Amino acid sequence: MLREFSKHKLSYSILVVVLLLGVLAFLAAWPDRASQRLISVAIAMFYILWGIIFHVNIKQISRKVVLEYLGVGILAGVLLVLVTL
Amino acid sequence: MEFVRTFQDIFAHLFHPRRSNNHRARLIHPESIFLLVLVAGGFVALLHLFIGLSGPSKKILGFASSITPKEVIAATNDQRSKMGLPPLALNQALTEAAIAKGQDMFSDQYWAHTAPDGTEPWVFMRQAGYSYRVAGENLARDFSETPAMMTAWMASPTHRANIVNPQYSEIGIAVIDGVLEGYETTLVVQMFGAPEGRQAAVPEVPTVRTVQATEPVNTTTGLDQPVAEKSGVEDLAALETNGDDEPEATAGGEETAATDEELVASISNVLTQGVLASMLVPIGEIETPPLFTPLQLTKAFFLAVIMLIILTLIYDTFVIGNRQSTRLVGRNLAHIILFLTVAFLVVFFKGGIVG
Repeated sequence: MLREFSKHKLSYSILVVVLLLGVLAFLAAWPDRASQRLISVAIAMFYILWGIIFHVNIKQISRKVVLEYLGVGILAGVLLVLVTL
Repeated sequence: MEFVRTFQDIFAHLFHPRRSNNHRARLIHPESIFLLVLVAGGFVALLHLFIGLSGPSKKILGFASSITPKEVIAATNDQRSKMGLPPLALNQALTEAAIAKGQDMFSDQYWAHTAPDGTEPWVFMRQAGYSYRVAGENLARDFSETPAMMTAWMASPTHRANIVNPQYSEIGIAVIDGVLEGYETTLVVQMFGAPEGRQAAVPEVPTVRTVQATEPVNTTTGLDQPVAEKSGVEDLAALETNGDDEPEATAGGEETAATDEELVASISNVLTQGVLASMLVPIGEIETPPLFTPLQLTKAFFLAVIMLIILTLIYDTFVIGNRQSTRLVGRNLAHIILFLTVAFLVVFFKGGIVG
């Protein structure tokens, strides 16, 4: 995993930084649950985009990869939205 | 034996990268991930259905979350309208003060009007930027429904006096979930006030006045409110209001010419009577605390799902890493980072609704 991280330092750094910002925004938005849901959706959308752009850059994109990032992003977003219900 | 073999096969298919799952644990295939989305949605739907069907008297789940600020305000104004009093308007600063008070009780683990460090409720109001002429606070916890909570408040003379106090014109509400004294509960903080510089339109309600005049004054909350912190103009306004409309409220002292000292004392008295901190409703009298809250169950289920995925991703990474084979799939490390983030947010998500 460390090898993977060091191989794509910039991409993973962007991912970590944006997710950290998402965490801070999510926690700061409390108790406004509507804002927290919006932030959850934004995190999910960012992740899907990140995944697609990452795989386009390394020229390893396929329909299945896009579907995988779509699924993982949607699951993460749905879990966060549902917990705020 | 055949059953065990079948089970092992299904288990390996789900979690172990091999030919049958195209060398990727089946659980992290896109189809399975989408199925998990449905499972999570179904769980929450069933949970809410169960809450709706089981009713508020059951002790399994934390039904306290059914209380909403909107309901509390409506019930409060309902009680006021029965007394012929104008409804209280929701004030954002008072709501922020109520939220801050509730959070403070959870963080410092106390259940009282005055914090262990001596912080009074009025401090939260001032910190929220609410300048008041008179103010009050009601607290409640462990209630499953708003009507039951309101009934308990109305049964307590000091709480009732706050709810039907004609001097108040604004209200702030916080309904906050959290862990207090070892178990998850819902705290309801109700803050009342009349902003500075505005005369309260006090209607003729003799019963309310009687309550105010005869109510034992909570000297802690009242006298600790430093008169010096208030401007003379505003104090005079408070005094004049009471002097004109409620002579009995200030009639506790002697009738003498109003010297400066007596004026300050009168103001202090007026403020004391305006700041009616209330008795606490004992927990045992209200309801046995629930075993779980819906939020706790949701968090536990979601964390189980997330941990299962993370462990599968880690296992998949190591198995494939050892095989030195190449696959055209998503990056496990990225998925793990995302799900760890989600797990963190699920764990630290604070319940409670304010409005």
